[in-house]
Amino acid sequence: MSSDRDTTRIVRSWLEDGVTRLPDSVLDAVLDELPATRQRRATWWPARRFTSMHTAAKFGLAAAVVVVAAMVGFNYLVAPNIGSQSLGDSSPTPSPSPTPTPQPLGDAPLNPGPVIATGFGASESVTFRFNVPDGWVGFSGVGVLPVTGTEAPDGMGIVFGEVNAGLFSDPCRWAAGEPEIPVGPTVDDLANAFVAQTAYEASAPVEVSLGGYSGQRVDLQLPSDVESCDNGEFYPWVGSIYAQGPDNRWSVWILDVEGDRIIALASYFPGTSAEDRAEQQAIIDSIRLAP
Amino acid sequence: MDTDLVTRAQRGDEEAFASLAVAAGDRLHAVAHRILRDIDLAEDATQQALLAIWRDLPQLRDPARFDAWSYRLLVRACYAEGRQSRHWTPNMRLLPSDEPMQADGSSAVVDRDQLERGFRRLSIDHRAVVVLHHYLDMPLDQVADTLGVPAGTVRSRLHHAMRGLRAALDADARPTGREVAQ
Repeated sequence: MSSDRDTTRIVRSWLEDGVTRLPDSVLDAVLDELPATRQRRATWWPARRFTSMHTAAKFGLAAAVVVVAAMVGFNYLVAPNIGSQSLGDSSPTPSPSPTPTPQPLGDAPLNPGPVIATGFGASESVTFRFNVPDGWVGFSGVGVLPVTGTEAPDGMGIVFGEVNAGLFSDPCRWAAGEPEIPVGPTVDDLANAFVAQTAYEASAPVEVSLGGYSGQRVDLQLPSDVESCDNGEFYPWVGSIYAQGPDNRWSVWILDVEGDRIIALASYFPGTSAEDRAEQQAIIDSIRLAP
Repeated sequence: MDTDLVTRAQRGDEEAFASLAVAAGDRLHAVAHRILRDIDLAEDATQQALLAIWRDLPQLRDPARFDAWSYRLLVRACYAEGRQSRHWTPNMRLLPSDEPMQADGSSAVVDRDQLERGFRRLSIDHRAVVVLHHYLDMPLDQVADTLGVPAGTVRSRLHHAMRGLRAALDADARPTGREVAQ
């Protein structure tokens, strides 16, 4: 009989045997394929990916509205007259409805209801909880977007994250350099850095409270020409969202969650409808944060 | 790992990625070979993993976590290669050897043969845990983080895998019918 210790020793020794060097031919094949292999950007899914879902989603939404209307009508107009219950009966005591379990944020359409997104902030421990209506899709580790898309002229979306490595002085020419504008660790540091840069317009910071934590909100107006930027993308900071088209507007909530600076960002366009903006704001307003 | 290289590669710098691939290629290939136990499959898995790393690199939130993240993509590539090769992988049954153990040290060779057979009977999930923990010396919580599964699942897989490998070694040590007859 082998002891556990013997087994571990033999297995470890056995694992030491084997190749340790990758053949050059494999490495060459990988490097040859790079130019033809497009990198997946860290932010949005392309809106065109949802084009085929758009019509179906509209139909689905319309069907849902019809069903809900029918149920409401039944409950209010018909159900009270069924059975022995009379108008004089006391109202039934409503039973408490169970709190639905939040669905984790994944790369998939979301059910209407609560969502939980984890792993944000420098500590990677900040959690966002929020509610979405019908017709929204998750983007794991990043945010949520409507099935109708994020791009100009009328798209929108919501991103969660952080800004750790500073800002680009020229977000249009981001590919070759490092972010040159250093940003300190506080909420005010980032808000002031947005205001101080000149590559896009920033509003004066406004003190806000969101999700149980205080911070600053800054509204950014990104430029009209982003097509001519590196890779056609306008990146104000590293590894995060880029402009979704010309004249993109970003409302950025910068919050201090017990020492972790995080952001929540609402992206929209001048052409985004008021109804859509209200839906987007309702999601933002539903955010609850936990360190 | 040079996080500056990672950051540059995240922004599409192919030269930076080439440096990363040179630095990471050997260790990724070594792990792939130990999981898949086949040179050709390991080369294919490493190639696919490196391309996946390039493709998904902008989505890596913390460049300092590049090593652990790259192992996760490698293990995924090993799953894919393992699935493709399943149709030809022999379904080996663990049988006691017909040959008695020799006192001249050849038992070590027999151990290795038995281990090889025992290891090939494990799923890729179980092999990955054994290799990350016992070859790379990764702590179990880091293995869990790398594979994206709960720590309890990792402990369970390791326990199951080591029990199977121990059974493989013990099967070799059991007396054969010929020895019992003597």
